[in-house]
Amino acid sequence: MKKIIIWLFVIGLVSAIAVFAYIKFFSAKHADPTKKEQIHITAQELYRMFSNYEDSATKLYAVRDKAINVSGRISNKEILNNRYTLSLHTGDDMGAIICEMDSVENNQIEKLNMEDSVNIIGFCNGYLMDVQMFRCKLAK
Amino acid sequence: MFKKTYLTLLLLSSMSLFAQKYMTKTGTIKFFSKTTMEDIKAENRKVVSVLDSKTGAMEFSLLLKSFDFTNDLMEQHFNESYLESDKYPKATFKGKITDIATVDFTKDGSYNVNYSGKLTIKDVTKDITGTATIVVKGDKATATSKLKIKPKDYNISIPATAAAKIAEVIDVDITMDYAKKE
Repeated sequence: MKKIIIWLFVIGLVSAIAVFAYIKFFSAKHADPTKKEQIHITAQELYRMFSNYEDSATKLYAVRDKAINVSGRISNKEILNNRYTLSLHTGDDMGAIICEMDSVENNQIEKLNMEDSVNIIGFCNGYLMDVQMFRCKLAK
Repeated sequence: MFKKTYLTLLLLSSMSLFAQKYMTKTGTIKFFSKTTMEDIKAENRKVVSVLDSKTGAMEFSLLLKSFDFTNDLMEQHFNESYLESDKYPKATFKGKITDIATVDFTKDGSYNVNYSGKLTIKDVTKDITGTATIVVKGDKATATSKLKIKPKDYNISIPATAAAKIAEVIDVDITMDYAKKE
């Protein structure tokens, strides 16, 4: 009887450690957009799709199983709480592609200037005056 | 094409009144759910809002998918199971600061105000009231407020298996960093 209790205790302890390790080291991470299948598109075309066909563009681009690889020129660069946001020209003064960058990219983004051409990979969240993307990284 | 033209005309018509309007595209809304089982928090840093400093009319709109969670699993449950963000991608508030006349936008300072309006989540609209603080500094005004929201009021059903992990009342922190639009 005593052995059974000890074994149950050991199994319970190992299970608890395994669950803790999983939560700590795996589930806490975000998916890396650069590791996902990518949809390649220009900033101009992405904006045109959302501003003209928002519902279908949302279904097509605002997904989590695919990342967006968007190319364009930088129209604005700002940093808030150690996180850069890069805006891309769309050819339409009414809106931009707003890319909230992953902070691991900060050193590379510091070197970028307005009007530089970039490729940015991230997840699209949809359209709200601008097209919003987050967890973005610079394409290598 | 009609949708785009309509939006442009709507914004242009608002532009003529921009002398009294404050706007942000980087408003922040955070929410917290605290239970003995689990704490859940998320933050949306891309909230779009307009405040009319003369009439007190105030609106904000956000994309539900722009809520940033500490892990993907929480985010997936939030978007797919609870908020159904593919079907209802946005949440909106349309309301009014009822005592906007007490705020002097030409004078730096902190002003306490009251507001009321309609909050729409998942196509369910509820009346809400609250208090806010507006801090005026030059051409900028920062509005902050705290709200409490019950998920079940907005048709957000939590399965029994997760009910113990999600609070019945969610705390919401709102910060709108407005800049004056000339």
